[in-house]
Amino acid sequence: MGILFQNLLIGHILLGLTGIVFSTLVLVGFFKKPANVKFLKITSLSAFLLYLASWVAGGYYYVEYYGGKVKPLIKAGPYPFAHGIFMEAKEHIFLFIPILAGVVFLATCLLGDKINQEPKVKNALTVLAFIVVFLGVLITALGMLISGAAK
Amino acid sequence: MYEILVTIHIIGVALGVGGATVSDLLFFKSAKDGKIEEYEFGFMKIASKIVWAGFAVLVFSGVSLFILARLKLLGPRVMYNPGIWAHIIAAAVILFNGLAMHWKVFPAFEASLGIPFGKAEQILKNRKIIFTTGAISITSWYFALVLGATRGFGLPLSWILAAYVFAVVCAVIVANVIGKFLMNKFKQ
Repeated sequence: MGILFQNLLIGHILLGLTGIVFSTLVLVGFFKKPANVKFLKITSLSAFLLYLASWVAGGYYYVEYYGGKVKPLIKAGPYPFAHGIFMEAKEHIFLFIPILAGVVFLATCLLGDKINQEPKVKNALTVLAFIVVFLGVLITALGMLISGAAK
Repeated sequence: MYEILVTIHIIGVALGVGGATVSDLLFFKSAKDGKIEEYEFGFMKIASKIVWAGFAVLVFSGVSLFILARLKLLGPRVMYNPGIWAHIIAAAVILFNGLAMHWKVFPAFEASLGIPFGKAEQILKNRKIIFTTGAISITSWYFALVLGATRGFGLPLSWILAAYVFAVVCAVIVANVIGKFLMNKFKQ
């Protein structure tokens, strides 16, 4: 693997992981009473941008390298379902993450202090933030299962 | 690079396992007089931050070790090791359990500072969650530590997870028995 694709793969993983860290901070931020709206805006924007960056890095790697070099290795190996199921699932599930993270950021910006005044709105955003964290962890596990099958 | 990442991972273990242990000990120490004082809660918050910091260090260094293995194309023999995946599952449990603690346990403590347990509405209402999440936390941290040191003794994933679930269930039962005893003691 050349230096470019190595760095893209490493970047994809670490940017995504850092995005999950910020999404976790967003979720914990929503637990607080009252929630710190400025903190939520910063962390939710950071999470959104990190997921976008991870998407770009992973997308380029996938299109230019994974399809031709890694996928055949996995499909020829003892665990071909690592591509057939895990990668296919990952390709579709991951799309939710930057979109939902963006929704959390937009909602936090547009609602501002109303988040603390309307419990139902705050609860809904908390659930959304939890879904982002959960999907992030799921996607990370799927990525590790895919990587593990390549030999 | 491998040695550097392992060293960083061990630092994460020290912070995470150490922080979780101190956090639980702090709770039982502060529970001795039947209430949580503000300064005791302050120490618990510091311990919690140390645990989260340790967890972040562990996750990043652990995933970096995984990346190293991937770049070397070590394949399923190494990367599908049951001990490693049980380790990862324990880490996921630690994360979601930690979130549950921040959602319910810390707010219950904060609402009950200086109030005797027998009269602390939030602690009485959330007693089971408090003791259950505490038990899951300490069991999961030590289970992950043992897995990291032993790689799961070469056992299949199902056996390792069965042992983990058994350990967690036992810890939850014991913690809740202790919790009920404590609450009854301070209700009088």
